[in-house]
Amino acid sequence: MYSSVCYWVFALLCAGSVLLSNPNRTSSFSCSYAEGKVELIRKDLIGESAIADAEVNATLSQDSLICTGEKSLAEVTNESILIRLGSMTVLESVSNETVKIFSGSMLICLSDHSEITLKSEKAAVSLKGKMTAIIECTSNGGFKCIPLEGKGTIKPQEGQSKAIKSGRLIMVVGSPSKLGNAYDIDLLLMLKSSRLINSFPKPLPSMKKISLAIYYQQLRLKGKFNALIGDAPTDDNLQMWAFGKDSK
Amino acid sequence: MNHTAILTLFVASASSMLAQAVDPTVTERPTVPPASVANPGSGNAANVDASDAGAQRPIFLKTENISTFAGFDTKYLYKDNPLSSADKINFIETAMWMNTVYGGASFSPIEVDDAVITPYAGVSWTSTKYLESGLDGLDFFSTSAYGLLLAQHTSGWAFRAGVSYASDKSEATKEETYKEFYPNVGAMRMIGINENALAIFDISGGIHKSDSDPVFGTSFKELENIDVTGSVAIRYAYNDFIITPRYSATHKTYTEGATSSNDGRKDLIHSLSLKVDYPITENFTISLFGGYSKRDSKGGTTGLPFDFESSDGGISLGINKSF
Repeated sequence: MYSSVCYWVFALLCAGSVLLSNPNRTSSFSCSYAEGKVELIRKDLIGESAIADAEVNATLSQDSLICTGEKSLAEVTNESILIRLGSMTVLESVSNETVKIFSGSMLICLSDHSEITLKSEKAAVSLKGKMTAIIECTSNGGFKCIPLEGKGTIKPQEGQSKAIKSGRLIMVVGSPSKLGNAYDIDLLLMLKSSRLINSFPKPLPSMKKISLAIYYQQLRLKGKFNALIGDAPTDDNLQMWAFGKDSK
Repeated sequence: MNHTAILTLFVASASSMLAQAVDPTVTERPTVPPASVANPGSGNAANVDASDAGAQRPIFLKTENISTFAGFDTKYLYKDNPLSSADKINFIETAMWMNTVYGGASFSPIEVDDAVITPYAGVSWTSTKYLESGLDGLDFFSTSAYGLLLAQHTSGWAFRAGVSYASDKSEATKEETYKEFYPNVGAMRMIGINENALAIFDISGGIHKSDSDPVFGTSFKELENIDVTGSVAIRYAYNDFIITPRYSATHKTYTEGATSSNDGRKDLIHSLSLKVDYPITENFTISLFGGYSKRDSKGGTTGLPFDFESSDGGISLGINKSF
């Protein structure tokens, strides 16, 4: 009797330790919110059977694509990373190590200090640290990286890594990718106008830190250009939409 | 003349003497920078529709480690009890004209894990004149200076710790009538009620280390006290007007011991005010304001009542500029 109890206790402890040590247990992403048309496309299947509507709480396999339609939004999470997808966005290989974005925009929130590679059609960078950032694809195959809060570095494939600064938009261009021009942008306006921040039922876990980053930026604000940054059709061009006189 | 009559005469003359002096413990003195400097963030924004990533408007940031600000306020007001008399019979209603110039600086904000700490320092000078009441002999100048650290925390609370200095000088005699150092701490929280209204909660306290001419006793420290103030205000934006009703309660415990006529004295001051600001330009504001204050006082060794009620109302113009 005594040896039987010991056997079962030992077996349970072994099973528990295997479960706790399984790296995939915490790194798998699941869909936590979907609005509009959100689809999962399995790459190992072809035809209609490859496409399924993304359901809330459904687990994402790493070899699938997640796509959002017009006016659609989605959120995928695991224990340490939250990713929000804007409309007309296609993501691939969502894991703790890599996220590939083909089109559209996303918000990524790293709750713990971690390192993740962000890829687009042409460019790739490594983000290291604890932060919240918005990524927006550009027509040149690169993307904009806009840290909203946090501390860390951004490392391109070519060139030195740079410390990220809240509210400093960095263009990521070329292949091998490098960091292009950087622009300080109005975080308060971005907060007010971003659907990736505002249009989800649950607030971002880093919302209080974003508010603090806005406060810090407002203390250091000297003036605003009456222009809005648009798309980057080529590596050398960035669209700017002007509207009236600059304010100081 | 019997002893009772002598005592009555003494008390009456003391009360009269007290009534003919401005109470420096109820004078408002700046201990923090103007709200527009310490609480930025309501600036104009381009009106754009929501997009997925959000509008990306380029800005330019200060490169200097020090930002300065300066301003001038002029107030014309009516006050029904400027000398804080306990007895309504002794109320000397007056008009007052107050002019303040101020300046200050904020230093480079420091980012720590969950807070942003900003050091501030400032000075101000105020001229207070009593008009049309025969009290012009009590006109005085006030000088104030402060230094403080303001820590904005991710919890939404803004904590502050600082020290201020204030001094009053009689315009007639050119002599200093009051001075104090006021180490103080405070915490403030702003909570959005809706799109147009903001609730502002504030609690603060400090030690008034003061010097003043003794009125009844022999101590120059008789006005020293520890105060704690709690206040709630609603900041409501209506079209271009900013309407701010505010209530505050202050408890003062006088700390100078047996040598002071205020030994054992405790005051509770309630204040209710309403201010309507209309910004004519970004740097120029016209305001209407009114208020009511009431002090309940206990203790002290003189036996004289220090309770009072007072109302005021007026108009002010303010110019301020951050550099």
